[in-house]
Amino acid sequence: MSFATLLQAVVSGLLLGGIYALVAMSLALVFGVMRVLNFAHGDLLMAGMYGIVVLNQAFGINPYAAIVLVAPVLALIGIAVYFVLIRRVLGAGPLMQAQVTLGLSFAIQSTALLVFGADLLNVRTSLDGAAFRVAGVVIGTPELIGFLISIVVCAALTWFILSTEFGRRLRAVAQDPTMAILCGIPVRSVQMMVFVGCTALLAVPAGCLMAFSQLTPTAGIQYSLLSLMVVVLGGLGDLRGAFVGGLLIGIVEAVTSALFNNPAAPGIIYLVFGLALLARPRGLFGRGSEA
Amino acid sequence: MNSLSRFTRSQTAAALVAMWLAIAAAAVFLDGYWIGIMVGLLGWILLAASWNMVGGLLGQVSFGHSAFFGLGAYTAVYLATAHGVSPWLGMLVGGLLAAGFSMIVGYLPFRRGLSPLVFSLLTLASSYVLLFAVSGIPALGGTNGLFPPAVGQSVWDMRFNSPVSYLLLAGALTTFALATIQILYSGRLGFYWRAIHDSEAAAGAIGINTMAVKLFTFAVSAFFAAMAGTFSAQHTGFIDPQSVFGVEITIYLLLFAVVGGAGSLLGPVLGPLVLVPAGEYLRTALASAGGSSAHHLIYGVALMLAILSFPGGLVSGLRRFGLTRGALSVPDLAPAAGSAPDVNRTKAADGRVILTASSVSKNFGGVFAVRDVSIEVRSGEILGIIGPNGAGKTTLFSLLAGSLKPTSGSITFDGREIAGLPPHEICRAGIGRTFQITRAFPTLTVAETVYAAALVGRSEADAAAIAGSVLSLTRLDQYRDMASADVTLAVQRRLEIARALATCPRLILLDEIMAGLTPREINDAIELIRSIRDLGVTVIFIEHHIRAVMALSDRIIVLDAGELIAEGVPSDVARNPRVVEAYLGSPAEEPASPPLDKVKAR
Repeated sequence: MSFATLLQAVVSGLLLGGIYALVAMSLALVFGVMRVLNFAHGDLLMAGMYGIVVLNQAFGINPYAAIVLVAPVLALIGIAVYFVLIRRVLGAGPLMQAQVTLGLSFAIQSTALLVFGADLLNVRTSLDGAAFRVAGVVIGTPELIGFLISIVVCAALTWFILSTEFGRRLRAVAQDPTMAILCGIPVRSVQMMVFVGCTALLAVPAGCLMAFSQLTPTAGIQYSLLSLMVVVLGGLGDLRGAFVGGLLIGIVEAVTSALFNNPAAPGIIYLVFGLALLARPRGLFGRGSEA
Repeated sequence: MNSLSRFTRSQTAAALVAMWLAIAAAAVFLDGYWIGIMVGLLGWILLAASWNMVGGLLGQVSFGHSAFFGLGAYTAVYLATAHGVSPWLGMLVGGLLAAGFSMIVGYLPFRRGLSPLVFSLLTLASSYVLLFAVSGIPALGGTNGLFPPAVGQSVWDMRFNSPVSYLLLAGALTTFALATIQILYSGRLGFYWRAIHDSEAAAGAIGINTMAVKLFTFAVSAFFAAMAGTFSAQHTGFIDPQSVFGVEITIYLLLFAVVGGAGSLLGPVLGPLVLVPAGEYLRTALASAGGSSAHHLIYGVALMLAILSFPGGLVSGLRRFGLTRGALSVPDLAPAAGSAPDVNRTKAADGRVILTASSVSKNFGGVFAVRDVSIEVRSGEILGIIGPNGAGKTTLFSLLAGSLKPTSGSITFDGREIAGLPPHEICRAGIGRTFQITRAFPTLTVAETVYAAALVGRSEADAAAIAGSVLSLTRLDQYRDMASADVTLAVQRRLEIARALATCPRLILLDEIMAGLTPREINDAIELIRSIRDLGVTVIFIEHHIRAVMALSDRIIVLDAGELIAEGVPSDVARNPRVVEAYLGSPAEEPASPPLDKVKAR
């Protein structure tokens, strides 16, 4: 294991981790505002990725441009999911919420299998395989673009939450829903908008990921688990923790698969997750809620 | 009533009889295809019942039962193919391995009392660790999987030609698991499970070692899941990591148990009974339209519908036909024949010191909730604790009762150091407590609650006698069979006291048991506290109701901002200038502050 290989793994992991960070931040935001841990988050992401693939294969639309078209569709799906499922389990026990969203995850996954089959799907772009070298490290162009887009969106999201009127309401709801109601904030509609917004936002990582990765119907649950791990690792409801956790998981994933060229490698992420959780049950920064 | 007769009278026993009749009928009338489906059904019942022990009965939802299922499958097949060990033995080894693995996974979250969600995610992560680890081990076939030995060589290979043999074996394993669970449930564990499920803090406060119960239950559950894994591997004739460790197993389990009714004894039987044949029908009927994925889609939708529309599952839907979630076995609680409940109480209040707290402090971050408090309590006395809100009264109780560990200082009870002991050990040492915000066991009846508290560490006969006399002492007889969740606030408070008394404490901690009661109910509560003391039980109580504190207390201590500011007989404390200041503000601002006992509304 040379230093160069390690450096390569860290850089690739960091680039991928940037996208994970955005996925995780939107999940953490949903949890923070609604206290619902959405086990179907990755499946909604996957639905977006299928949207990107369809637009690319049918109309030749570039995955980055397709983001703009997929986002409203995801928003509609988000509205339906909110009103049919999520609204009914707000305030219910965390396990009931977990089971309902796990059922949704299963339903999305089998719908994808039914419609698109089990084949690997990908998109064609002019950037396929494009890469450049910096100090001996290979950087894929689509990976870099995805990373940059995600970081910019993460920053914009943070600004939105910290500096706008809606962001202030959102933080009030996250901190104390009862108090927020008493202050005249329409809590339910804030929660609905956050859920729908976060679902629509998944179009961004969907486009970024599709530009360089492949898609099967089981990708959804894997992204769900990955983002759940990141969010729990970062501290439930802690956005900064989710961002840093996303970067870390990306790096751990890349480094372990570089270190151990073996099918067992992905297991190490789960092992690291378990150990980290035991060491810091309230998250990386110790600011998460106990759920 | 011994455990055998309890078992034969249970609904589980009836279900098992029905199952064996069905097995007999199937063996005679059905062909291999349908028998195969029935074997699969029984396997799912076994697995769902094992999951339900922790996920339903105990309320700790495991998302990682596929880990145990897979361990059972891989251990038996590996031992058989690589070392020629009989899968019958392999099943036992796999079960023990799974039980050990479950205890490793469960130890820290249970020990630290982490949230159930963290437990769920840890179990899920553990199943993925095994999934990938096994994929990476060539000796276990890697991602290609393993085949058990060929069919039909010896009974010891657990590979049969006849589908009926598998059916009989599946029936035997399912009977073993369901009967074990039923027997455990109708013994004392049933009470412990329901108590932990309903309120873990209160379960600890009545002396239940919650961590030990959870770990034991998780281990037994893992053992049964591994048994199902071994059986399934032998029956299917092929295993690979995805098919036995995959998350699909866990999702099916959740679906079957939730649709059947998680937390009930027969839910895990009913869920698969309806869904497995339905799924099989859909799979074949929809073969042209995408087969298995269509039937998965319907399963996913069914899971959501079941949780949203029928939270109690099929079992609660069938309640009108007499199906229960599983009856606990409460013996006849004889009303007291005048005598007080027995026990390790010193009947004569001899006035020696039984509890000493020396320089006890507790801080959260930089905030001292309790600072350098020292108290002595003599046996047989009634000690009142008063102080403004936020003075640290409840924190002091939590330190005494073990739900918090002091930052510094020592607490001795009967000459024994108890600071930092877990709540159940403090309860067993002889300190009972109530909770300021009542923590009933909502699904237990009043009688079941009191009996459960008396049962910890005692024989059933003793527990029944104690529960009977506590129920009549606290005048709860008429509410015996009501659910704890359904009684009025005053009755809930009495139930809290009864639950604490049933643990036969020598010292009882009562936390604001009069808050929100009417004047008449307060008079009753005062009488009740006196009669508790007359039993020889030392009483420490926190109360804001000054009339009650003055009337009851032999001594009073006053806390303010975490510090002990006064101590003495009621009339002295009421005139103590620092106490008056803490309650009414500084005399300088308000010239003639009257002493507290003149302020009170007589």
